[in-house]
Amino acid sequence: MSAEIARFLLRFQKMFQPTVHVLVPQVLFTYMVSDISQKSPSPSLANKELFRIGVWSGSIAMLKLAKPGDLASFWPKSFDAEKLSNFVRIFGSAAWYLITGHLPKISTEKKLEKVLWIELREISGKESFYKIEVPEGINVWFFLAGAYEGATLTAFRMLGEEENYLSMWRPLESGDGIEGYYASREINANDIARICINSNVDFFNIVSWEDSSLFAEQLLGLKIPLLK
Amino acid sequence: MSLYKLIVFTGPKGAGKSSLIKSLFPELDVRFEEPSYYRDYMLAGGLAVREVAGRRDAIEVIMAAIAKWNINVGLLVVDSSRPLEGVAEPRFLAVIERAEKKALVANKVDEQGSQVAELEKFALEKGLEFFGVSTKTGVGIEELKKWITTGEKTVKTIPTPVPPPVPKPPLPIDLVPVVAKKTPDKSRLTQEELEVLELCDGKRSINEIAMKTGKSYGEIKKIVDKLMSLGYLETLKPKIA
Repeated sequence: MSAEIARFLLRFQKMFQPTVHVLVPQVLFTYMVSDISQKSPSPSLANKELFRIGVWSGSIAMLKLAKPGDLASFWPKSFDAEKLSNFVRIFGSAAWYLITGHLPKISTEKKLEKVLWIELREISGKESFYKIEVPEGINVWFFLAGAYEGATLTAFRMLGEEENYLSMWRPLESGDGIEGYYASREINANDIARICINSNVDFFNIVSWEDSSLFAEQLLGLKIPLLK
Repeated sequence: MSLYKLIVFTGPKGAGKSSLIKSLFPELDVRFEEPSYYRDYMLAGGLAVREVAGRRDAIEVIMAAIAKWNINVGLLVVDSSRPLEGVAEPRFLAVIERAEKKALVANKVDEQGSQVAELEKFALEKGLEFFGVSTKTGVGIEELKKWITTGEKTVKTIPTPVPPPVPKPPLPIDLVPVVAKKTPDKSRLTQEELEVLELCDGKRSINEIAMKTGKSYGEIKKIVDKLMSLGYLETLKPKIA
C-alpha cells in the first residue's frame, strides 16, 4: 500500500516539478554554457560559439528524429508561402517540441515573393533544458537559433532541396523565442539580408550572415552565397 | 704542425663529403672516389681542404699523425637519411676533436626520412655546431660556407621538418556513423559515398573519416547525412573528439 502511495506521490510531483528528463539536460546544458562563457573572451563570442554548437546539434537532431518521407509529404513542390507555413506549423512545431519539450507559438509572414518570415515563441511558464541563469551578456537563445538553423538546413538536405532554399535563425529581441526565414535561393542574398535587418536591426549583430555561411560549410558541408 | 690551416671533412663513406666540398668550393677540382687515407685541396689564403677517408683502418692510421694537423675547421659529414648509430662512431669525432671550430653537417636533408631533429640533438650533446644541408638542392650551403670562412652563424640552417597538417575537428564533439543492419541496395551510391560507407565501422568518427579520405569535415558530414537519410546508416553516436 505504501509503495502505491509513493508511486502516486511521485506521479503527482511530476505534474508540478521538472523531471529527470529536464533536469539532466539542464545540468549538462548549464555546464556547457558555463564552459563556453569562461573560455570566450567576450559574451558576444560566447553567444556565437553557442550558436555554432547549436547548428551542429540541430543537424543531428533533425537527422535522427525526422524521416525524409514524413518531411516530403508536407513539403510543397515549389515555393508556396501558404504551404510552407503549413510545413513550418507541423514540422517546425514538432522539431521545437522534440528539442524543448513544449510546443511554440508560430507566426509566419510572406515578405517577398519567395521569402517567408517566421517567428517561434515559447509558451511562458514551461520548463525546459535551456531555462537557466546565465552571466550578463550570455543569451542561451543563440544555441536554440543555431539548432533551428542547423535543423532546417538539414531538413532541406533530406528533402533534396539544399540547392534551392536558404534559412537563417536568430534570437528574438524580446528574449522569448527565435525568428528567421525560409527563402528561395533565386532571391538575391543581399535582398534576403535586407529583409532580416528590416525585421530586426540587430539580426546579424552577433552572428553575421558570413558566420552562418562559415558554420554551414564547416559543419554541414553546405554552401551559402556570400553578400556582395 | 702542418703549414696550412685545415678544413677537415670526415664522416662515413657515402655521406657526401666530396659533393659537399664541391658545393662549398666550386673552384676546386674535386675527385669523387674515396681517398686512400686523406686528400688535400688547396685554397687561397693559406687554407686547405682535407677530405678524410671514412674507413676504420684509414682513420686508425691517420690518428697517429693527427696531433700535428693544424685544424681550423672540423666537419663531421653525415647522411641524415641514415640511422644515427653510424654517425655516433667515436672515430669520426676523434678526427675533428682538436679543431678550433667543429660542426656536424647533416647532408641530404631534402630526402625522405631525414633525421634532422635527432642529429641536432646529438650535435648539441657533443658540443658541435649543427648545419642541415643538401648538396642536391643547395639548402644550407651558403650558411655553412659563411660559418667556415667567418665563424658567423646568423641564420638557423636546420630545415625544420613540417609535419603534415592534421585537420582539427570543428567541435570538441564528433559523431560516429553506425551502419544499419540491413542496408538498401548500394548500387544507388556514388563511388565517393561508397568509399565513406566502407569506412563507417562503428568506431571511426566523421573527423577520422575526413582525415583518412583527405576531405573536410563538412564534406564527410554531407555524405553521412545522405547515407543516413537513405537508410544506410542506423544512427550517429556522439564521441569526444
